[in-house]
Amino acid sequence: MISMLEVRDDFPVLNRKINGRPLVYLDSACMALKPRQVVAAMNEYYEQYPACGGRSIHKLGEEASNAYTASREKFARFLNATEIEECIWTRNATESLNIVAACVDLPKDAKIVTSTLEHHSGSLPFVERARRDGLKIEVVKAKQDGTFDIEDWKQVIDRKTKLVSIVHSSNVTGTVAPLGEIIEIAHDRGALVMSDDAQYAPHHPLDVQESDVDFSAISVHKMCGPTGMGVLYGKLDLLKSMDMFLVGGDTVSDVRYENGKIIPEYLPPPEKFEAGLQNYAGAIGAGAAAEYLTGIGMGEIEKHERALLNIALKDLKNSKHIRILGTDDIDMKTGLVTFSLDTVEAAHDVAAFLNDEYSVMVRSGWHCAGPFHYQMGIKPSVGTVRASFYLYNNTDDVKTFLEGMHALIEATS
Amino acid sequence: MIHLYLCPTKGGKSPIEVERAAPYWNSFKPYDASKPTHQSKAFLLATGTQLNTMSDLSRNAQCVLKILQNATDPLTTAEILEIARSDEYGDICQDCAGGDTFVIAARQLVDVGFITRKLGKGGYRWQMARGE
Repeated sequence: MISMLEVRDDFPVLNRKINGRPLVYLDSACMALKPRQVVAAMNEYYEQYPACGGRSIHKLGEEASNAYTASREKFARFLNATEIEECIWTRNATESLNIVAACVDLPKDAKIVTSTLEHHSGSLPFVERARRDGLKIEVVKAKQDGTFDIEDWKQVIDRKTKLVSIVHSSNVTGTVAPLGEIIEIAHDRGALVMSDDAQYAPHHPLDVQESDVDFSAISVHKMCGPTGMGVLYGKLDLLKSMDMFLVGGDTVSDVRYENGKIIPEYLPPPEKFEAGLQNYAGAIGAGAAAEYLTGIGMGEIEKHERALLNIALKDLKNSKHIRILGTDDIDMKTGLVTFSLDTVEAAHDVAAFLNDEYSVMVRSGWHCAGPFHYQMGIKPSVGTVRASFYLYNNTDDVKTFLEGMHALIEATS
Repeated sequence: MIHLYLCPTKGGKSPIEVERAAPYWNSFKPYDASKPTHQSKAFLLATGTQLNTMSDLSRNAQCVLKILQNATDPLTTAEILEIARSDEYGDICQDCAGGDTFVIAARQLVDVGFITRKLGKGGYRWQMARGE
């Protein structure tokens, strides 16, 4: 187990008391808390060298450029990317997914494959690409426990399939997809794989070389980094072959004016995907977050979260009033549990009660995953409750959460 | 030395003067996150501020208030969200199907004393506060 005393001290917000109670934050699958180290790195940029990176030749510009480049290197190490140019800064995982969906080269008769378990950001960009270009899109149905039957993927991914979008770890069920097998099937049949790692990267060791994934989308705010920052990983040759998503300043090596025409010459990745003035502080914070998590050890974080999840699951499973979505096999789960309660109709009521009475913060609603909720017969107005654990949570947090759940069941039965 | 900072209210109406001691950045608080978007009823009464019209409220709050005003009995959270998605409320109630922001607005309306909620079998039930 990670030393909680040390890790929790890095997160100033955990010192807060709300309604006289210590804050129990179990909504990290939506937004992770920020350690002092990340805030300090960003503050340093704003206080010491708040200049343009890669443009201004003065001292502050040079320092900003150095910090910006160093952050990309840190992030590349976090993913074990072959080249640092394979890490593109984006606003969030959603933008990363949109870049691939919109810009990857696909033939006219191509098929795209995705699943019912996707976050809306993992399905809609591809649905819209298919609609834009008249492509076929096929959807693999997740099983009721949020896992997949690999035979379904073998059946759906055919020779016409050119792109697969798969959520590596579901933000609803927490189940980890058999990404390695899916990549093998896809590559064997000539398809590229886009992995939505928004929920996976913050909680598990991620090695893009080992998995051989073609693209990966990451949300930095879910991994202790700043908001408004994401990363698109892509194999360098694929990134080079793609069209730009946005164009303008910083994306070009030259723009000529010849014979009455403006003729651009674009830079290679990453610059070709990073148009306009960048979020330097955000990128520096992202690098600091990657370094912070790496320093603790992603394997340790995974183990710690699963230990907490195990305590929660054991208790919740014993209640006849609770229905857990997704498998209870913690070895194939990220540290989160999503459930509904038969004594309380709306998931929002559970979240409100836990917040108001216990200062326990969980997420309620449909978690931007409409298709899976509809598949499970859960109306959006009812929704589900999600408690997600991270490196800064401890067993006291889980106990308080469970205490609140028992009190709620008693009050509403 | 006292600096005055003009903090416009939502919609740009009636700026509130906020006293700030020099050096002003020492006490600079761009936003007090612990306060709801709309001031508490007690504050509004104490300052003589009127909040009589629906247009003074956020769109989501207007949505929840209208639904509860038209209801004859207390409504569950799910019932409010279902009604909000009906055609009748389509113009005023606009949120994703999960209804997260409606619930946030409803909770803030409880904070300012316009509506009440009570926990019971099945969850919370919401209704207009007495006298409203």
